[in-house]
Amino acid sequence: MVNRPDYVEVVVSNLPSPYMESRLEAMRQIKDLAINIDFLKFTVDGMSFVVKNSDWPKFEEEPLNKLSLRAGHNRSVLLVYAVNMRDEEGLVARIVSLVIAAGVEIFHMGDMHDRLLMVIDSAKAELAVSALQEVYPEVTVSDSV
Amino acid sequence: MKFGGTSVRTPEARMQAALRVISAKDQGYVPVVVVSAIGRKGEPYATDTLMGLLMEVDPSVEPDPRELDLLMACGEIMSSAIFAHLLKTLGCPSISLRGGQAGVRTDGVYGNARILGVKPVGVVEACKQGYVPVICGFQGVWVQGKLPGAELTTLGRGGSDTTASAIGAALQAERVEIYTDVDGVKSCDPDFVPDAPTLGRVTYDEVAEIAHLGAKVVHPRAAEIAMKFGIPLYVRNTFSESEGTEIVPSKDLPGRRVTGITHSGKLVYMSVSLKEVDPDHQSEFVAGIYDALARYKVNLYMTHINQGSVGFAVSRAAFALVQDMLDALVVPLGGTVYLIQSNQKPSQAFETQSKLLDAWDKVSIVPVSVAEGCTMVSVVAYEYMQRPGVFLEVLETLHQAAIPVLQTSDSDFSLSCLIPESELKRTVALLHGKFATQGQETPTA
Repeated sequence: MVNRPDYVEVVVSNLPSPYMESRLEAMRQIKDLAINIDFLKFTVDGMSFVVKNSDWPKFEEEPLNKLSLRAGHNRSVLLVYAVNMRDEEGLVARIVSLVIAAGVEIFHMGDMHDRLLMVIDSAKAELAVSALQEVYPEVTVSDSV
Repeated sequence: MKFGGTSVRTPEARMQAALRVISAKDQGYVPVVVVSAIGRKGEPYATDTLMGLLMEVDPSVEPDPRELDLLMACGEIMSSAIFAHLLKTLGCPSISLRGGQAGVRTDGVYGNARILGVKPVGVVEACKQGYVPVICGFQGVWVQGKLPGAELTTLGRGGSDTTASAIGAALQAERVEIYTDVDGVKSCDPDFVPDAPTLGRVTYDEVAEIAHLGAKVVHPRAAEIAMKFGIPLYVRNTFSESEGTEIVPSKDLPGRRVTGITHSGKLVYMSVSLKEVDPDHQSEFVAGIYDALARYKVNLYMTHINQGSVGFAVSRAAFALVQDMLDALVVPLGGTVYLIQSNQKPSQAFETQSKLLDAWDKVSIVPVSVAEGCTMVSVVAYEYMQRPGVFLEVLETLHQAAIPVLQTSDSDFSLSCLIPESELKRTVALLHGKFATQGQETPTA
């Protein structure tokens, strides 16, 4: 496992319909400010994503401050490495259920061929790690990369 | 040298493959061959056909995994015996070896065993005596404590690629060559973009990610083993002289680039609304759903969690199971009973459960919305996703073409969009034209 700290979760809501056009317009503004977004997910009337802490102040600037934004600070991306995850049936669901059952809220998720990425509260990263190590004792933890 | 099913499918194909082995030997190499079962799905000796022999005994009785493994392994056994015999007839001494004889030791998970180690004593000995070993891919043995002999196990999907990489690593091979019926790793499915170029070089990570997201090139486990042991891996066409694709470590191929466009199979997107779930119960409720999905060994794609809903895509093959599992599920939490409704029209099970719960004060219905007929298209890229505006470029491209995107997912190496299956071909072609032909940028410091 690897813990990458220093992220902010951003939820954009109350976008005007048609939503996809509004989302694209918001993304254009974000791009113009040279902000890279990760973990983009569509919500009913908007979207949510994750940015680096260092990019958050840019959201205070025009025109992004006109968006209806909610920020969740102190987020970490917890990477759980599992080679060839797709062939391990039920593994993603198992990891997610263990983390949530430990009282850790997962705000966003993504996956790759060899890792599951979960955006969680930085303060609860250790709790998530402990819950996973209880079931998968072979898993080790590395520092942020 | 690993030859896939299509490379050993017909006498003509086997001849081509055999001549490649002999050519390698003539060039001074010591070839070691791994073969898959003959042919593809539906053909007489293919793995799926063999499985069908057990299934047709009584479709209502699930075959024992042990018997299934023993039967499935026969395809590779036949293939190796035939290929070894062919080499002999061409004047090349050869010997067929089962996975266990080649030293492939696995755990005891029938149907999806993991290789624990390879002790290729028999392979080395055969080579020393001048034979070309022809090893059955996809199989190994589980050596149990006190029982005589060993249990035959199979390695799961893509197992022959994994066998080749593992044997190559154990032998400290100069290279591992995976032979198939295409020229190498393509930048997208040539059925959708016929002139999709073959990638000359890609990294282990890229090829594993491409395979993870749907492309049938090299199995990710095979790429991972080759990466771990530093064995150069090649994907080549048995039937052409093209250079194929060389798979290399990241340090040997720096630079930002789009690797290719992949697409996964048929998916169904399910979204569980949490509007009726008390915020104090949401975590436990969501954990319960995921726990059930894990117990039923369901693979998830495009997982999405927020305060309003939980969403995930499942393969169409798994959909009926998941829908049944969730429908009429009762989740009692802190005095409230939550009843899940996963069919738009209430099922009989749901109606019955609902009546039984009439006596309870607090019953909340949790609806699950379902979007059938979806698929996932992914842009796989290297050092690309950290660039501002990548999401925008992909979504804008699809929006301008009036292709609806239902959800997205991303990672360090990829960006995936869930789209209607009816738009698959157009989406792949569009994204390939826009992104995969951009070429490679010069590495930045």
